[in-house]
Amino acid sequence: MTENRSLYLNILLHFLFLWVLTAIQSGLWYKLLGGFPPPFFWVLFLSYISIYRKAKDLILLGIVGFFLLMHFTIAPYALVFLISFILILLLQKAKHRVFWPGPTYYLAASSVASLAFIILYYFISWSFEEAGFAKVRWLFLFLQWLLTTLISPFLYFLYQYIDKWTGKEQIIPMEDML
Amino acid sequence: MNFFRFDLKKLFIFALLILLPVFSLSLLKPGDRLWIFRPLGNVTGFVQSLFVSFSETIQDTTGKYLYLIDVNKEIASLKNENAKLKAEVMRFTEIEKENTRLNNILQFTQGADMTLISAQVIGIDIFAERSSIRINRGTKDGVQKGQAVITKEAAVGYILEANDTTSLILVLTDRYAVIDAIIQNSRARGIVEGSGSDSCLLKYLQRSDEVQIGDIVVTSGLDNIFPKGLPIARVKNVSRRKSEISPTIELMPIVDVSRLDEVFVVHTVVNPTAEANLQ
Repeated sequence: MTENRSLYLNILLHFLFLWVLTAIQSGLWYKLLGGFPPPFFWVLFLSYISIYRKAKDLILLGIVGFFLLMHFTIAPYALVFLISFILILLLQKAKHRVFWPGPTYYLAASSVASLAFIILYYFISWSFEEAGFAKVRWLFLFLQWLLTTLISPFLYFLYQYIDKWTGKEQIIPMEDML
Repeated sequence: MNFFRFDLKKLFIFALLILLPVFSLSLLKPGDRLWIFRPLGNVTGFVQSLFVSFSETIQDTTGKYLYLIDVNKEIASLKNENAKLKAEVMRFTEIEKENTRLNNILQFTQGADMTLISAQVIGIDIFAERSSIRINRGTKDGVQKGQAVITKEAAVGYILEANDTTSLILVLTDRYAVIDAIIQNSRARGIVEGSGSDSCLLKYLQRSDEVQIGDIVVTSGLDNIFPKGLPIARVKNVSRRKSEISPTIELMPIVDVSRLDEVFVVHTVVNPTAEANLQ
């Protein structure tokens, strides 16, 4: 398999997997568990590609994933894009400082990322949006953060499986990052 | 006289011993048993009865064992049957619920004085703080942007985006959702705005307007989206500050978005006052 074909296949599989996960979060979870907070799969996807992808692959996957995500929400495009971009930069910077291979790093990164996502979302929304939010559902957000963190090791292995199957590298050199 | 020098006495006894059984055998009728065999018969009978009771015990145990095997098989078969029947009962219960639900929908759509399009909720917004839902009806079914979405009980929101087969609804609890409304009792008019979570606010009332906790807020019909008189929410909290022109009224929506399953898109309104139909 050529490098380009492997890359496109990898992007396609990650895209399909994100689609399935987001559909579960939006539809199946709601049908089965009603208002109980679901894990936020977008943050987990973003964390994974920020840590284990070269700049070119990261941009491609990020943009493809972003367009898919926006199908499932009415949140403003610019807001979600800005938060996602800041999050990618934060994760890449953090990886420059400290990194160790294995699922525990991904777990720690996902935990920090999901917390950062919530804070950034509310801060940017409060700063720039016309209709500000009147209430914050703290318990909901806490449970969502907790579930997102707890589910991350399982997703790590699934992402790794996709990468191995499509022949993608798992640890990339620092100079290839953003 | 005693020619062979036999001891006659002994001979007589010997002959008697020989002849007596022979004689008694000849006297036996068919079916009679010789007395000499009686003690042996008793012993044999005892041994035989022992064997019989032993064999009976074995037969009994074997029978019980075989019976238990059969019972076990029967229990397994009954359990299987029971599971099948339980599944059947569950299926029938589901069918009954579905039937009741469809019956209610039919009754509601027939008596609502509105042309309604029934739809099923297929997804909610992935951002916790935004309130939107996606339904399985689109432009092919007659759904258009801006149409009102209701349930049997109350208003839900309105169509924000209509695709071919699905549509996106902006729920009244979203902070970008606004509905023109009146308080049912006092007829005071205001605007219901979502507050970004599971509640909403009633804004722009006058200071003199009467509002009580528990009052029902209904659609005014002036926004040309909702028919007049659809319940929206109940007044949860009222706070009046001297510095503010209008009181801050917190509302609890009648519809719980997290439990929504079936909704109706209002296609056309025959009778613009829906208040009477929904109460």
